[in-house]
Amino acid sequence: LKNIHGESFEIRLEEENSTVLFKGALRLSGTEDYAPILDMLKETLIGPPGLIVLDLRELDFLNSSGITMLSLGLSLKLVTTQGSTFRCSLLSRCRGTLAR
Amino acid sequence: MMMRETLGNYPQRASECEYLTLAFSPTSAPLRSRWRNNGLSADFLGDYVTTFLPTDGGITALKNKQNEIKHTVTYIANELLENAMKYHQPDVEIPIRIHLELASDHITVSVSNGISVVQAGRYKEFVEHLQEGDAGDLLLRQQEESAKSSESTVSCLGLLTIISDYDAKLDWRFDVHPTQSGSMTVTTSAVLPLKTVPGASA
Repeated sequence: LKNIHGESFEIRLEEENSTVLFKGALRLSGTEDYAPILDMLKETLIGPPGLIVLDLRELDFLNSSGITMLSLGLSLKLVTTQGSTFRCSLLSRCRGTLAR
Repeated sequence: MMMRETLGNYPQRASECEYLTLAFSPTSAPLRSRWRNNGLSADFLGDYVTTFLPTDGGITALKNKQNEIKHTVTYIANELLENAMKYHQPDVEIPIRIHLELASDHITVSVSNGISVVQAGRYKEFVEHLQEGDAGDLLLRQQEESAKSSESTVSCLGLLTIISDYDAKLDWRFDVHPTQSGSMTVTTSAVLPLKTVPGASA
């Protein structure tokens, strides 16, 4: 899946699947609704090693269910490489940035 | 049973302030089709407060602060409304209400909905747990566990982010339904201090 969109948002795989671009306002209702996006993230992150960019510059809004989805997607990669301590600090920083 | 119970320092309404209340009767359409109203209402409240936060002719620092508060109000309103819509008890005549209050030094966003006495008990337990611990620590712990979480855990995450990421203070009020003893109205109230906003007034 290269593109997921809804009334207020769009998520696209770009640059030969190395960039995931998030646009708009993500306010889906929970785990079930976020599952296709999490699957897209997982597929991208478990791909061949290399730089993966999550481009959130045009993401205007993310609800707490979306924060959970994004942190699950990110932790997938980190758990296999850095362990859980690093995972915690990254999640914390990620949340702080998104909050602003 | 007490008719009213408060947890935390539930705020009294300021005697003179601007306020706005929206009410929804959630039995009229399914949750999925009403979901977009959360975002529309939250965006509206976020825009609404900007009128009362002067930017003094476009001074960048004030403009940035205004944007930050607008985003904060939108986020808090959206999270509280999402929770209310998810957990509202549909078979009682209690509307879901969102109430915004602007005072000179703080903004209050309150959301109320109907729940069963059993649900209210579980919610109170969570609140007491929250009051004993650190919201930031609880948030990280819950995120660690969220892979196997139920919806209710995810919903609590929203409250934790309001405290931890936005420095808002949460308080709760539980009111027994006057005629249906198995039902209650729960009101969750988030108070956002405005002390750090130069020139802000309501």
